[in-house]
Amino acid sequence: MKSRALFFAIAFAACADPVQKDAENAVPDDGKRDGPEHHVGYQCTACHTNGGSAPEFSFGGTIFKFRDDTCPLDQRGLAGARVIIYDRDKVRHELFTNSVGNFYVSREEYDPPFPVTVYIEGPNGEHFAGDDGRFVNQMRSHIGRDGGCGFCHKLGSRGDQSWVPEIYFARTENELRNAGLSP
Amino acid sequence: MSRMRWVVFAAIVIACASPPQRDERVTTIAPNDNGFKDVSVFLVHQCGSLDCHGSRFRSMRVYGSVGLRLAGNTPGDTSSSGREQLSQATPDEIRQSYLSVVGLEPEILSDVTRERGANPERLTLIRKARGAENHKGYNLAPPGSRGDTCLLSFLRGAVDSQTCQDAAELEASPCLSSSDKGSECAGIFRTSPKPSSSM
Repeated sequence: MKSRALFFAIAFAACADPVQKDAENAVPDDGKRDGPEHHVGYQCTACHTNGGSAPEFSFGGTIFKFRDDTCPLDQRGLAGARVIIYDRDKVRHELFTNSVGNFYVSREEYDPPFPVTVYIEGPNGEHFAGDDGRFVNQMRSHIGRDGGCGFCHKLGSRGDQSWVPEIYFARTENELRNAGLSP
Repeated sequence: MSRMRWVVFAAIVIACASPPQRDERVTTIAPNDNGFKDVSVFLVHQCGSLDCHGSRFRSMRVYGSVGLRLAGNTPGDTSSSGREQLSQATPDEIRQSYLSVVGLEPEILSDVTRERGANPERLTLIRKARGAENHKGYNLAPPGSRGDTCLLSFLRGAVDSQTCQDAAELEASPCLSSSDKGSECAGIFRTSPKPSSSM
């Protein structure tokens, strides 16, 4: 009996994916229950992935109102923002942020061919263009393989070689107000 | 078999094993890096997003404006006064991308280079780009495409700069501004854009 238990313990340990475990452990406990409003700003696909401890998402992330490192995370999100995704075949799909700025979609519901490009629109269609007429609320690169925004957009990342900052709709509080949105 | 026989057998096996030759080296050659700057533009824009070959953890790493940067070349994202300015790839970054690409399969690349780019599908780089081998990024440079032409020109040692630049355009990106592609791009957002200068 003891040897059988040992066998199963070894088999179980051998099956566990240490990389996946580390990725999940890197997401701090925010004290919230599992659900659409937890882990604001962190990489959804750390857990919501194939082989992860939560249902798989094809896309998920957080849109913040503006760059602000002072407010609590769950008060910085932009509710009702529209995330517009164009897949490789130029098929459009839209997702919306919830009250804390989180958005997500399951792989089962939406599994687009990569690469995709992404645009962000405010709750009332707000978006910006630069002096050259180019859209500002657009990713500068496409997404090649990982729909977890937090995979590249690391919370608090500033001037990093390998990561980019979190996704924010406006640069400053003033810019947000001028767009007709309240901070 | 007795122990003695085992010892003799082992001694013969060891005696027959040839030692490594001091001068046994493989000399590799790679396509010239002249013009790789343009190849790099294509690679960065099509392959170099941070979740793909713009990751430090990939064997093929490309550096540039929309992906991985070398230290000191990070985007100006510490300023909140202006939109971040993405500086173009530096010579050091282009060099690092070149070394990464030519270091993937140096011996096979040597053969391809010696034969002026013949049978390029021997290289995993080409098979992956063409989608002939499993590739998460799909076939970003199918045979005959601008991207494929760009890569092949590099392997031949005569980079087709214009084609590489053209291939760098994000084909998956339908619109950069509302005036792109006629009316197709005007419908991405629901309202007219607010110019940044008025904010």
